[in-house]
Amino acid sequence: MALAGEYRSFLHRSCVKAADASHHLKILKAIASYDTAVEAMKKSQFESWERARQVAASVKRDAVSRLPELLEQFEAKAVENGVEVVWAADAAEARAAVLDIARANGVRQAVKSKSMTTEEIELNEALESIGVKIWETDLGELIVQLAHERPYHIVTPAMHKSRAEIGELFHRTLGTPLTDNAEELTQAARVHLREAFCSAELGITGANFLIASLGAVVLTENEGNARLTTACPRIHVAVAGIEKILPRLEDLELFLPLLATSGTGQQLTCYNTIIRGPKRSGEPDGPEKMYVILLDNGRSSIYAEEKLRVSLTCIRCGACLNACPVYRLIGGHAYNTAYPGPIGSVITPHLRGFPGWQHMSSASSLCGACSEVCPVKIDLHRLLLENRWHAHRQRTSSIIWRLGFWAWAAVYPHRKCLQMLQPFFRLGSRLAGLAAPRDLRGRIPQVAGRSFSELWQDYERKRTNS
Amino acid sequence: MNAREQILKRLRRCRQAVPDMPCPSKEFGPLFFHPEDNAESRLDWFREKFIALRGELYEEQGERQAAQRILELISGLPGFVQVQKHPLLERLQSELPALRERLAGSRALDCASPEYAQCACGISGADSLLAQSGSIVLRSSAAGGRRLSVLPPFHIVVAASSQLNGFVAPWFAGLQQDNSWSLASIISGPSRTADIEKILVFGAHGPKRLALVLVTGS
Ligand code: SF4
Repeated sequence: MALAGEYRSFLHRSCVKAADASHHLKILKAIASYDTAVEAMKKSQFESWERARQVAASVKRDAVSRLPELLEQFEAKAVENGVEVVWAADAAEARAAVLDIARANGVRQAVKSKSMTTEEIELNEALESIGVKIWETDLGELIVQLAHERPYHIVTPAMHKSRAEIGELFHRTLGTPLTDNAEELTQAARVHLREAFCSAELGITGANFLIASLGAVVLTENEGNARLTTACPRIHVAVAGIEKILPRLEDLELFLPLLATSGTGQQLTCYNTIIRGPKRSGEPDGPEKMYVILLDNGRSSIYAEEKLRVSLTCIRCGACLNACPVYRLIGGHAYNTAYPGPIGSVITPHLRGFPGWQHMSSASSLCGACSEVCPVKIDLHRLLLENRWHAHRQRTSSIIWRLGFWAWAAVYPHRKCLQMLQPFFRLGSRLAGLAAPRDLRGRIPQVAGRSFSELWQDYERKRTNS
Repeated sequence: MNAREQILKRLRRCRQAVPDMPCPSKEFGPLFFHPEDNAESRLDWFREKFIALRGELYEEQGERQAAQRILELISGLPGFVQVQKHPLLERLQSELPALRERLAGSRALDCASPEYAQCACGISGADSLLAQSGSIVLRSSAAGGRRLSVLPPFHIVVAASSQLNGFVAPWFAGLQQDNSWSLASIISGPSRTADIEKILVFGAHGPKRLALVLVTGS
């Protein structure tokens, strides 16, 4: 049977990347420097990282449990602050909402700060289709936009590119003098985007948190591009998943350091910004209009599943990606989704449909490294198993897969059956040995001539006879 | 049925059907390491953090010296300097007429006109300084808006040592009381990025330099 298209191309991309030593080196280097920074920050900042995780998990679980109430509270407060709140059931509705805003306000250029939610709804393509020029302003996002790629990682989008490759890319696309100096390249991006910030009519951001008690959007970043995106253009649109909610402003006392520590190994990121609405009377500048788009796009179906609901507490820190041995090997592009790695594998099948994406739940060694690092204690590897079970119940797994397991379940519990099949196992291992590539020949383990239970029976027989 | 009703109805139904997730402890308790929080240790604490973040700290005895320091900082700059209307900054300018003269060209940053590109520096006040993280906190309504603190390549903040706090909690409480602001920001050092091979570079899109002129004593 032919494998489903997405699954097959996933396997193909994974094989290519797994064999690419230079890719592997770049990723390991980046993750090693991440690991050092994160470990040091956990020790120097928190009395007990474990306790901080527990509290964070509790706060966020409580918030997600009370999702409908908190969303209504958020909406009421935001409206009071002069924000227009738009609800979007799926990606198409969210795109349509942004396009409407762009059309109604005569937008020709838009600047965007880093946001995974807008990747999820594939907003850039939609805006371009109505002739709006869109500028990615986060340096990593700009790099992947210029290279016509997806972000490689949810926190470090250009993790897979070396200085030299970026230098070459900037030279080709922006006409920057050829260099591999990180400082010069950063400066080139700064100069390149200055005009855009000041001439764009629309600024688009995501939201790291939504504060229910205040109706506010919280953005955390290092570069200042989100600050500029919300300072210069006439209109600000924030696209936020409904699960981003936190009940109170005070919760940020823990969540800002927690996210910074797990995300990049910083105590706090450089700019943490709380925005509750457009420019107020008496303020010299700021957007005239602000919109918040509350995106469902499959989140309410995750909410409906008792065991999976906890995956909505994710704060998108990226720690589970860095910890995952599969992600480290095959990289972020193999997944071909907005959210790669362990958390991506948990939520993507629910966001985009099971039949096409369930293979992601198998892209895991179930080692549990992801669950160990998660700052809100999501049991990611167990949820991957839960997804496999879900696929099984929904009968969306492939016929071969189900037949195989049915046969296994029929044979395995019965010693007699296993014994009868033994000659086949033996033959199989011998054939595999013959067919193996030369350097593996002789190293394929062979099924023993006689099984343990046969040997045991012999032994027992001898003992009773003597 | 519109999207809002549809989403909320679904969530409410599931809220009934599925039990809440267990959450053992929501009390923060002390989670972070910190030295004892008193007026003397706070300044040391802040100094260490702020400088580690590559902020430039100038501690000045009295307002006249602070004014002198600002004049020195901006004297060699190429373009105009934008200054916020702020009581402390007003007093500094009265102390030192030369500073007032230098700042006379100050004007609002208008993105629509290409003039903004000539703005070399923004000077503003702050709400408060946080020792825990070495941060400067401000709100748009009391810091000359949104652009002043992020568009120019150099941001100078003026604060009195009495504005030094240990933690962020009192500032949050104040934000909730006040209805005048639309944006509040916690700024920890000059703008930075490590998106290229994890190499730390300053001055990504925001200011390359962040200076704090701290007026101590009087
Ligand atoms: S699942 Fe946990 S570790 Fe992974 S991105 Fe979300 S919060 Fe971070």
